Amino acid sequence: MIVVWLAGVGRAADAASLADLEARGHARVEPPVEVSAPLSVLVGGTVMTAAGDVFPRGYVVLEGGRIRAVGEGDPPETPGAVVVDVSGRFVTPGLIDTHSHLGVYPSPGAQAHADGNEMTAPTTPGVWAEHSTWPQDPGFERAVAGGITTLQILPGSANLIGGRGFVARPIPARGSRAMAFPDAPQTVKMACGENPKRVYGEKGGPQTRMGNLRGQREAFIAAQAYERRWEAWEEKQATPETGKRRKHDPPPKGPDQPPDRDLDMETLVGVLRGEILPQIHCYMADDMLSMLQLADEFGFSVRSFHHATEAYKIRDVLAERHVAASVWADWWGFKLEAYDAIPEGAALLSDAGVDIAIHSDSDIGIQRLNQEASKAMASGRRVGIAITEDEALRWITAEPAWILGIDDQTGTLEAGKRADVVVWSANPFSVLAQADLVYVDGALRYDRAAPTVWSDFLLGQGVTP
Amino acid sequence: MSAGCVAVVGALAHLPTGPVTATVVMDGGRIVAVGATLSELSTREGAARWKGAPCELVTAPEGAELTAGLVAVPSRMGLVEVGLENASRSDDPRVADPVRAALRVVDGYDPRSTPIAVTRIHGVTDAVSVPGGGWVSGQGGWVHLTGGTQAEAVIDDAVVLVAGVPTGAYGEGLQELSDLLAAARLHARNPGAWTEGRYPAGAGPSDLVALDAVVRRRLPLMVGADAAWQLEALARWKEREQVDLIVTGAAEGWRVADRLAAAGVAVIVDPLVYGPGGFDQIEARPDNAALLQAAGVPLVLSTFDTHNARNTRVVAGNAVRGGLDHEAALRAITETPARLFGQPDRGVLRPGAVADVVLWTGDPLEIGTSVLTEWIDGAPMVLRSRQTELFERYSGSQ
Repeated sequence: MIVVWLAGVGRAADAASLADLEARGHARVEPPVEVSAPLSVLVGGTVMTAAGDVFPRGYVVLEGGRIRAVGEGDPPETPGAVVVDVSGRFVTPGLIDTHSHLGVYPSPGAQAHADGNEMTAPTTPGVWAEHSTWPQDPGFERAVAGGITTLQILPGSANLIGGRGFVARPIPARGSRAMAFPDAPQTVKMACGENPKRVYGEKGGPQTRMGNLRGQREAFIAAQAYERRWEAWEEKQATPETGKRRKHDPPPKGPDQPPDRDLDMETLVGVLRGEILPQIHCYMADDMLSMLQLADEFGFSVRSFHHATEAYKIRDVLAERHVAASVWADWWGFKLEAYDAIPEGAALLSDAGVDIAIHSDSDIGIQRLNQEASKAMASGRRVGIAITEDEALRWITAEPAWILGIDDQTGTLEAGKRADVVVWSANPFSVLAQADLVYVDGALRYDRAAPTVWSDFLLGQGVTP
Repeated sequence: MSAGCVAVVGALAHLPTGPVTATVVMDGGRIVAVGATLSELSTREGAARWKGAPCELVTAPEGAELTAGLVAVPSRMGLVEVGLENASRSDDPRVADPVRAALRVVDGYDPRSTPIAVTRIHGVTDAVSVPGGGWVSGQGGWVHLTGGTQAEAVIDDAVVLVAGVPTGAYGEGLQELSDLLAAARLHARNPGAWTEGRYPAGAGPSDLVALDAVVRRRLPLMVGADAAWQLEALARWKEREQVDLIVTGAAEGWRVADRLAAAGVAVIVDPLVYGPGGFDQIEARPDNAALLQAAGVPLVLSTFDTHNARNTRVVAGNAVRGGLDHEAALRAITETPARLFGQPDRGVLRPGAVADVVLWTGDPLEIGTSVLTEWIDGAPMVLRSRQTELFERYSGSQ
């Protein structure tokens, strides 16, 4: 194993491609922690798959970190399995929060750990949230106790392009990379509207929304030029020369050296190539439409708007383009951008075919994302929008999984997917529901009957889990 | 405002004695009768008569429940339209003066502020609007979430005095508060002795009069504190100064619950705080409210929010999730805040009380429950807000 992790290290000069460089940046130092993910059968509870099925007396079989089987009635024979009776309880996929600052703005709030906003320049696509994530944040264990099995840790919204997001597991780790969701695509945080112009208005700009757009357009213009230089280099690398060139042929065209590295540009080229998924903090309908125009101009797709309090006003546009919206159930009015939020927004979006996530953006909200989905569902039902529990469950499981590009791996209870599973004490849409058992990759990471303290910070502070 | 007779029958009514299927009759803006059977009420063919006079009959649907209107405290209701826009708020603490005891923040109450209707349609009928900032922030007032004028909406413009104790200089902060109270006592004895610069932190004569109301226990003092050690210090200070004290936050209150109960300190708690958001919340836990209640500490539950004060009932539901008795949770958002802030005839379903009454589709503390009908001063409310209009504008096909 050690050989594998070290294989990519230390040969920057002979890099063949941006992809090589990217992989080296994520190489892990420490050995992975082995955790037990025993063959387990959850049996007798209501199984809500978030894939269209609700099994009133269902079962889920977990094996080798994956879901082996899901269904109604008696489970298949599984000799040697740990059998967990979940009669009277509810089983769902692990919850996914597309918008968190755990780890980068950890608890307790402290100057020394305010690592979420690189407020030194309005455009900083080259910073990575995984480099700011403090794995000892007690917020992670509070989140998993609320049924969270995956979260996107994002830089703040001070910057027009704020840096890479980090799709992570809330699991104990010594360094952030050990928390990385396996094979998740990279993401980038961008922001429109009030925040960048407020932060930079007195610090050289942007000071206006038009200044915001200029800053973003200039960044992508620079990225296009950078991409052309890399394309020329990569093309040259892909064309074998030695042996084919005769002695008196002219030397090949193009550079002999790879372009100088530029971390900001590497991220933006990833966006232009569709490999890095843009996650754009943007509240108002007109601002979101400007961001879609930006995406059209430079030929990339927005994966999800975040906060998106007016997304319901442009739900036809979002649905047609398959752009998702990560929204709150009911936050509004704390700033003018959020003045037109309505509690029916999520239901309107979902009803129009837009993929949505109910996100938290809060160390407290992430502990009860199920309740937030419940509120959004109830608000829709009050005005006659028929939202099923399966659909509302998808807002905190399957649809956020798509937003993060990991929907082939998690987000529903289906055979073959990662065994990210929550057993609830009651219907998860009830205010009384508690996560009893939370499995990540088949490993029991939270047991309400026997909770443990993970964070080193909490030791010796009298904290009982 | 006067309102006619309404009899609500068939709902599970949350009475001071507990939940029971009962009839509640309102007339003239007050609750006039509550009971399982009311001999003076006759109902026939969908119509009712109360003491022989016509009375509107409201028959609760299956599963419906009836409570007093909910109370949001503390809040900035009517003071803040949009949080980050100073131009839209009346409580911007521009004045550098750290002691503003005489300030009555509801002088800046705008009864047409849009969060009021947004909040009201979720069963909240009353709020305490409070000032912030400074060292002694000023006085909060009790407001009714109805009416188009201050005259209709402001029930009492001075129900609490808000102060702060700096965490980083706790002993000094408490001593300064004591100095102010001592000055108020002095001033009460000899108002003619006041001269500028003589009393702490620029406190003027009107401040000293307001502080004297605290000394005389006509006004409770409200102070924020989360850490157990801060709460203990406040309990000791309260006993020394002999004032009525309401502590907001109290995230670690469970650790010193008996001490708070013994000192008669009341608390306003957000049961969602499961820290450690700050160094003073390290031992916050989900059963904090339940443990405080069990120790006998007067308990109020709060969102500590204005725009989302509508979630008061869900926050109380979360306290039940953390182990608090359901009726205790309900009292903590109705009867207890009314009593602590000097409104004993509000927040309770009993004859003589103000007819702020909410009929719910089910358990008011459960997320999926909605308001069926809401009466303030016995008058039915129109359950619409700016958000309703936005929804209607955008809910059609696009």
